[in-house]
Amino acid sequence: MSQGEREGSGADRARKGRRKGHAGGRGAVVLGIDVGGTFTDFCALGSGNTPALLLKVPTTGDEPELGVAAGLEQYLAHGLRVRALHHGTTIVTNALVQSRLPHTVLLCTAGFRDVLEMRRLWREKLFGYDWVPPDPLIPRCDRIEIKERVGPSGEVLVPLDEVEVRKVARQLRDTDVGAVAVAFLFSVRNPIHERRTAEILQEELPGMPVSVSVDVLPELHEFERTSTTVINAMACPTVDGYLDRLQRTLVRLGVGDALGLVRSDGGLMSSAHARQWPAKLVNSGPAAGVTAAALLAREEGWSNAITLDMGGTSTDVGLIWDGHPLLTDEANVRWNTPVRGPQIEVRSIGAGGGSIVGFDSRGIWVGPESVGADPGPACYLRGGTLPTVTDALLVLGALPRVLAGGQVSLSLGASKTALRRALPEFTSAEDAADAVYMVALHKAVVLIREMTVSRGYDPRLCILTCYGGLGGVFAADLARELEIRRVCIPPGGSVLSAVGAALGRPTAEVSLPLDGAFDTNELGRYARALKSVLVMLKSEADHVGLDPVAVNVELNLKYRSQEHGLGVPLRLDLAEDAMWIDCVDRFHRDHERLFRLNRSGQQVDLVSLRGRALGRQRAGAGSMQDAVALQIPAEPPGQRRRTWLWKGKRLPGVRVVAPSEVPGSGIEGPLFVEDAYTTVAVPPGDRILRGSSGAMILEIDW
Amino acid sequence: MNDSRRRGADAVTAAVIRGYLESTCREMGIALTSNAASPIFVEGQDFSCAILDPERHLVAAANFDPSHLCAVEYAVDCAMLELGRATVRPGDVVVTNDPFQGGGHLPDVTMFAPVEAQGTLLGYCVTRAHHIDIGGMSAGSVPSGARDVFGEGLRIVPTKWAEGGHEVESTVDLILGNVRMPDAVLSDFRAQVSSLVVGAERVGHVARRYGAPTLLAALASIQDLAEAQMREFLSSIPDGHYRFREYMDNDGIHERHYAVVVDVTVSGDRAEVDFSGSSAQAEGPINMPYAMTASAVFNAFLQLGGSELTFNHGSFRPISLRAPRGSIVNAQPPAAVFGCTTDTPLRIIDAIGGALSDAAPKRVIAGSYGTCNYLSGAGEDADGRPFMFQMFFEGGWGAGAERDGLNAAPNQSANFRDYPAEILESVYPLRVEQVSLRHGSGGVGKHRGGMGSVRDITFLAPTVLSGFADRHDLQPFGLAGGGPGRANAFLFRRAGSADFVGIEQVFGCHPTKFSGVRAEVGDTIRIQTGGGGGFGKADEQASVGLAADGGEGRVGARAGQLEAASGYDSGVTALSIEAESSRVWPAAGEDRFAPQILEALRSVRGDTCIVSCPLKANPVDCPYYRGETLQFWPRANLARWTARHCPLAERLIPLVNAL
Repeated sequence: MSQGEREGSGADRARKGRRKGHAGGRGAVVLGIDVGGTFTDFCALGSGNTPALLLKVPTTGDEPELGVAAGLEQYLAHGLRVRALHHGTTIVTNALVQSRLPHTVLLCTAGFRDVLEMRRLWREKLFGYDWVPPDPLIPRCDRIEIKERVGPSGEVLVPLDEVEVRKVARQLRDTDVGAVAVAFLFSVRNPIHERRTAEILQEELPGMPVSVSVDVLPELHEFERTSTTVINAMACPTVDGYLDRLQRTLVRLGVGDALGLVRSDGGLMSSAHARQWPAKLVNSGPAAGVTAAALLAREEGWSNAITLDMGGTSTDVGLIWDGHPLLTDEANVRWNTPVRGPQIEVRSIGAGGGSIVGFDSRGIWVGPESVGADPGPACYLRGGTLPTVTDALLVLGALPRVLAGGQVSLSLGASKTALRRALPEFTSAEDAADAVYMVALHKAVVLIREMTVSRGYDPRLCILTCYGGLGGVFAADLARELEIRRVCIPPGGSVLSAVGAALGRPTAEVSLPLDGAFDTNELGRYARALKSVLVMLKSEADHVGLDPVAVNVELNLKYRSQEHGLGVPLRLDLAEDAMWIDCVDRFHRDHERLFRLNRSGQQVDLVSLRGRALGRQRAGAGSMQDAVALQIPAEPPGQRRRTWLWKGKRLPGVRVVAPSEVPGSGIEGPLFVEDAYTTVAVPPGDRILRGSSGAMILEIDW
Repeated sequence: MNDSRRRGADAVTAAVIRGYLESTCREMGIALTSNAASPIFVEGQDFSCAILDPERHLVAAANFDPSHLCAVEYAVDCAMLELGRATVRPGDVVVTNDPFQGGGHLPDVTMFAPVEAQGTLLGYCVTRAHHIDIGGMSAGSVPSGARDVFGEGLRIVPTKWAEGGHEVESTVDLILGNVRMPDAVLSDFRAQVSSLVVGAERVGHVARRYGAPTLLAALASIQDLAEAQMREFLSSIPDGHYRFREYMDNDGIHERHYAVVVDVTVSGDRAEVDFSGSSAQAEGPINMPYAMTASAVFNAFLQLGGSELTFNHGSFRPISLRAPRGSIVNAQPPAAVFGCTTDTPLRIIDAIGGALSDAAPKRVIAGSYGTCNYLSGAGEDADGRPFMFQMFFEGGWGAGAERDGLNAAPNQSANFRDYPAEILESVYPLRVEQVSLRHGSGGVGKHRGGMGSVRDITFLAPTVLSGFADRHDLQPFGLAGGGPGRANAFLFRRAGSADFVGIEQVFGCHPTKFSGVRAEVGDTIRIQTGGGGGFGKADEQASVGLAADGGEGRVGARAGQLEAASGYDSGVTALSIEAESSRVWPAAGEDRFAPQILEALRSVRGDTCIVSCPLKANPVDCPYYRGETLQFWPRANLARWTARHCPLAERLIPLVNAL
């Protein structure tokens, strides 16, 4: 936990919560919802130690609010009262990936309309005339140049041509244009032209969503700022439409107020805020998962955790250090199409259950192409003939023959045939499956090492938190490869993003650009800047209706030549002068640890001060302890014993137990712990036991 | 374990280890950019990181500069031959930029470190990076007008930068004493070293995890895989001889073209590229040392083979080349070589594509913009602080049989990023007036050539400029009836004047290869970059797509709406130039050096090499037994090596010197 934050540990709160008992009264819950591509997940958290109630329903295509309603109705039927609804969603990402976006127009500085298309020039692939870059977000004819120019010091070089802006705005009337983005050069240094343009647009096009770059991302780097602004503008109508429909649904069901949306940084924002800043939803679902993992790891006494979410098409990894998820400043929705802004860092590789596997002149490979939900892996018998990671796991006996509570039966024969056909180098389907397992395992190992070792974080000081459909299958062997002693399988692991949403806290953040070299003669200026950040933060918190219980401030620093700064938390508990010098010292040390060169003699530049205020958590993680599923049967879905081929060893008659059957004292592997949606594989020599938070803990033997 | 099962198991280990090594190279790149001081490293990304096996063969690399990556193993190889394996120990870092010993142009400095585990050599971590200055006649070491390598800057023959983990002060001082902005340069050298430290740590980890023998076996099988893929691709090209000639506009000194002639022989799963007939080496700095020529050849085949190919030394094995000594593609000292990374290799890459355009029409693309349009500037800002910048510029790629050319992309030899206007203006006394795609610059065709770009930059302080570019005269060729792309141009506008004119008209300098011209406050330079050639006849497709383009002219070229000729287009391409023209510099003579040297060795060696020489005729240690080395090592280097390492020196050196 950063030093600026003042509150009790999660475990403390959980204990207090338990002592308080049913303070919220029966049925008053915070409901976390995560709308994913295949399933819509729910997690209802009561106050104190009321057990969490989990639910999974199919996602309903283009009208996801129907799935949300279906789930909600089940909760209401149980007599629960929803006092707050926290929503994570991939709606923005999906719309971007599938290019289902409204007609959007960009107004930009004369002479620069091609910046959005030229990106930063570089190619994704070094070699290969077959590489084709994705289309620009907006075609050239919709990138409109406006005569205006601000210089690097904020000086107006060319006044804004307001007549032109008005003319353009009028031309957009009665067209199908659904959103407008405005991104002028150096608006960060002087926003006067962007602001005036926005005013004119609002006068001429009342109701039109307008995104202005200085508000979306007040940072230099015109391409990245323009890209982020355009994505924000494009997402406005989509998010607006969805939230309209969703809120109507909620009103109909009588759970109208207190809707919060999970942002990319894991915090919550109001629906009004989300309508204005939809670009902050880009990483919403995965961020919520990492948030939940961070809180649950803390319940188990770990402040460092690596999270691994292995799903159908990808494996996502996050890192929690000192109790906080690592943040990053940029994500790309497709190649070289950045969304900048603080967000929980989640790195992803195309290796999930549906990833296609094969053997050719490239050697043995796993992904990144995926069979998707349709036709699915060969064993689903829905017309798919290509072998996938799921097929390999089935052949190894690592998965049950039925999935999703009996809704899907798997064909072992189909898996074997597909593997034999695609990997003839191996004498048997079992050998091929073992090879696929090893390659998939090591792809995840490399990803985790890049997230940790590469950046100076020692994975051996972390607990490994595995979730998602397949996380638990690889968990023990992953930990062994990384020399990690303990794995946490969190309660509600199959709906963890929903858990994270439920546990989310309202968050407000502000950022103040700082310029120039760090200079100890200017500590007074820095102190004034800090004061304004705290004032801005207070007003932002008021604006979003948040009562801050914790405030932290991060100073973003870099060596002059560096492109990206490094955020270092300010120790607000230190004396006014000491806090800045301490912060710069820690920057030098962090840099050397991360990049192996002591640069402490070199000039440090200040980039920005960033403040975050966190509101009160509405539900305690403690109530996850005895989480139960609304609908999911507690019993393992398949046979109670099966043969497991583990690392070339044949283990006959391995027991399969339900999570509820795992005692606090633990059981030694080989063993499977299974419910309708997840399997945890416990290899020989390892132990699984129930932790105090309700999580299952794997103790790894190596 | 039966054979097939063993193969499977090995494949798994190789795939796993390859993943680790590629990840390590990415990590080395992060260390490098995080520690470098110059924007050319950080924003421009003009560097590369790689891992070589104990025989100095490339095994793994990350997505950085392609021209570096295909050439870097030559630099390590030459340095290890020069220094001898016994003298380079763990903790040492070797530095070199010698163009004639596997280097490229002088600013590209290679640094490498051996990696060992319990006394077993596992390989080398290596980085090559473009430094902001390496001395020589002009700021930023853009030596337009140089007539030899000495004018271009400091030539660092293989030397230890660090020994036993400590910098060798005499080396550091010698280098820093010969460069401008030594503080920044030192920082960048140390950034390279930090990247090697990270790399060696990670490779060491893999060795501990899997054991040195398994790691070494995997290094070999990773290369075998890449080789098999390249052979599979070469097999898909019909056997035959395929010829093409490309040209450099000029060398900046003489107004004549220089021919790059390729004769590609494909037989089965192998290819040979013979450069016989290429022009003799030039006086100006457009010459290719051998390693850069090899790099361009490998690059060309990797581009043709497609983005799915694995890339390492194995990809190079089925491809051989013959480049006559003393020609523009195997230049000998003291040739000036600046253009060997920026311009001339692009002629090789285009020529190989052109040669194979009938044999592999779906793989090739038409001619591309073909230059970096390299521009550097130096001066003092209003507060008297010195500044220096270097920029490269994107352009259009040739169209292919199935797609339009890439718009405004770095050339095939590079993969840089541009400098944002907001960063340029914040850091330098410059104002960016325009960043645009250059519509109508791509050649017409069924598929349009990629568009070049237009960038206008105004100077806010007096700035001394140097430029280095080519293809401002001859245009990128079209294929299968497609039209040529527009040529590049450096245009200039004096403050107060309304029109842009060629930079040569303002300064009386060379139009593309100039140094030391002085821009005044308010002057503007326009970098107008070339488009790619078109593919296929334009009328096959009429105006399809015009509407989809929103009337913005992107595909207008198909309907014949090409940008009006600017006066900077000669109307001539590689396809229309007359090969025998008096404007083309004649071919280099026949090269008999390698066979003659081997003959000389045979005449004196007796059984010395096998019996009494400690190197035991091992090609990893002795250049006489490493066939490719004899193709390009300068005679003086060979004599020097012989004097230091060869028991036959007394009798052999006179024979070497007599050739």
